[in-house]
Amino acid sequence: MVVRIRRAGVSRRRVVQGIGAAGVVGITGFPAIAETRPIRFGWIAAVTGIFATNALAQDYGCRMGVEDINKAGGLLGRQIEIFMRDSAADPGKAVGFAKELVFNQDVDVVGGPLNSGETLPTLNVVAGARKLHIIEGSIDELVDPVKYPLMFRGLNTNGQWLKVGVNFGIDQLKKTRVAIINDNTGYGVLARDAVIKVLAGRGLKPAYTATVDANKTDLTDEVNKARDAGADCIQMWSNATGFQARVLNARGEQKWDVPVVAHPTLLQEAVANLLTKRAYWENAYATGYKNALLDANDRLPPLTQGFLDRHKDTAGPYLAAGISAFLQGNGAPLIYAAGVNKAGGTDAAAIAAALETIPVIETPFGPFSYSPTNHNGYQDDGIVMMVASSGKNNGWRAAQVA
Amino acid sequence: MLLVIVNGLALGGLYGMTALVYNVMYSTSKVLSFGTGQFAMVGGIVTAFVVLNLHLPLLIGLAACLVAGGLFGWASEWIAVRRIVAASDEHLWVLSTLALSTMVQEAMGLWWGTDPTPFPRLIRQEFAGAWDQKFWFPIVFSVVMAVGLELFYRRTMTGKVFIAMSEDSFAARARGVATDRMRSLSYVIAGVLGALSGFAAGQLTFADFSLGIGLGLSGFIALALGGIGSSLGALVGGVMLGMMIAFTDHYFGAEYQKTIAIGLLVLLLVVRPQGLFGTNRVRHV
Repeated sequence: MVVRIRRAGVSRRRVVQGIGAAGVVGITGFPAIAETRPIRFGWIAAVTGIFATNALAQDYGCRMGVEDINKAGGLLGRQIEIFMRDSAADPGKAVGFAKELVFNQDVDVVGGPLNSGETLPTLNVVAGARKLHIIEGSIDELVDPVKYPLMFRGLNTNGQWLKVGVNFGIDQLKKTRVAIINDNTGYGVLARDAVIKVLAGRGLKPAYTATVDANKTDLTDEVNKARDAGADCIQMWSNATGFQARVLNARGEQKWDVPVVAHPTLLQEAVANLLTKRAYWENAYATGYKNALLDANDRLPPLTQGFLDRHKDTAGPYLAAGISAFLQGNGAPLIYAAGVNKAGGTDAAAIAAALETIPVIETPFGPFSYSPTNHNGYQDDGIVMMVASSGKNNGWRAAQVA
Repeated sequence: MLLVIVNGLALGGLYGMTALVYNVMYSTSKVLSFGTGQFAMVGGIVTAFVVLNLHLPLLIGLAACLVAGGLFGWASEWIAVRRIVAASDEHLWVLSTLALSTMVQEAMGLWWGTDPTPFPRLIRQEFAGAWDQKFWFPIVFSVVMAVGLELFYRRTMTGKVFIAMSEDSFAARARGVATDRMRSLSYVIAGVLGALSGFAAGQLTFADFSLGIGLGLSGFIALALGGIGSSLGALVGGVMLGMMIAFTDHYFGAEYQKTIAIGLLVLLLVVRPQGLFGTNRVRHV
């Protein structure tokens, strides 16, 4: 043993000194150099592929959130460095990047992926590395504080959207014979089942349901069947712009002025562009966010307007997806920052404990409030119904039925 | 019910046109290119770009669509087929055509965007239910394309050379046919026809970067149903598949649509591998 140490050029005295120094570090914590390095923020966003339009806006929102924090002096005096990976809407790539970020890059936190299909397979990877994880998928079943105590949702749940949408149809529009038309993706089928459940909770059954190929070229048959079934309202659950436009086109071409309640995608200009007539966008309502509601002077709420004003020079190209997508991505670094500031460090468990005790985290996207038993966070009152065709100044009018 | 039938016919027309495009390339190269559906995607997007973004007349949009399709067809043969077929008897063209198809799709997605975008109306017409142009253009174009190709094969020297190459490429070359040039020409024609199918059906499909893969698969099923090499078979196979999908949707819902379409293909391949209008070739030894 002694011979080997001497051959390596290390004396017995240096070994003893080294052990002593290690002991001191062990007692007092990491040396100062470790606390000044940038905080490493892993970010998985599918900025290419089928979800690119939304993801580009979310990615921009995240980068601007980090930029705002860094300009204000960083977190606990440390700058945030983003390690962004493009998963291209491929769950396999998302898992690979999650592994790379937590094991190779040793990031302090992982944000994303930005949809439920990619998020699900990454949960065990990030949890296994004991890293904080702020997910951006909306499917309710993803969050489990017992199984994933370090994982928090930086978005509302799909259930919140559906509940608000279905209740709006019943309570505001006074429509009880509901037709559900959804696409055949995992999201569409889950949404259909959730709508049926919410309707059952109100003592109602759907008048008609249709699960349709997301790329089906014409939906007149489904719309006619809904009318024949006596429906007085269509709940349309798909996040595909083409699908939504085809339902509205079929409704308009059949001259059936039935109200349509839908996923927030309906607010996008991309849907209106696909309509045979722009008038087909009328009498259509989508779930949206309070922080994107216009006031009487067509102004957005101060927190949202402030964010837009700060980034007005660069935000333009990303507004096509709607300001909500923009603000969703912005929420992840802000939630993380709130946790770090409260915890006073970057230890994942300490941040998780801190997030569970902060009463409300206000972000431009909306208010979040976590607890030890609820890691969903987004507050119900942040979700509102909007008139689909009322978009103006990056916001929308609230759907208020007289 | 009339709308269900017309929608099925329109879909069938689009699938039939895709099957015809497969046939044109297969006749000279014995390659079933995985990029076949992408010709329609490129045609649709180029037309939408020229007419709606550049605000040029529809005829110029059509011309640009056909030129883009022809160039893509020529590039497909040059990049993904020519050297692969010459270098190996194995079916490596599966990989090369799939790779090129994926690259083109991703490139179009990056350039054009991933959301579907509108396609221009081709003639002035208010929406007319089952008589709307969005249904009838693909139906009429598919019939015209099938008849035109049959006339091309039977009445023109180039068409006869294509048939000669489909029967025995080596014998055709021995008789002085420039087979490489003919194969290249067949891919240009296939690209033009594929882009034309995207033009005809653009109002149904929108200008959508993700159209190609699904359309390529449906076109292949139509081709296998009708029988490889037969124009009539391609058309009938397309109509059968389109009607099958429309009626499955109407009576059972879309959950079963793909299962039935693929199930139909498997069943037919088991019962009649050569397809409805295909023939069993006997190889003399």
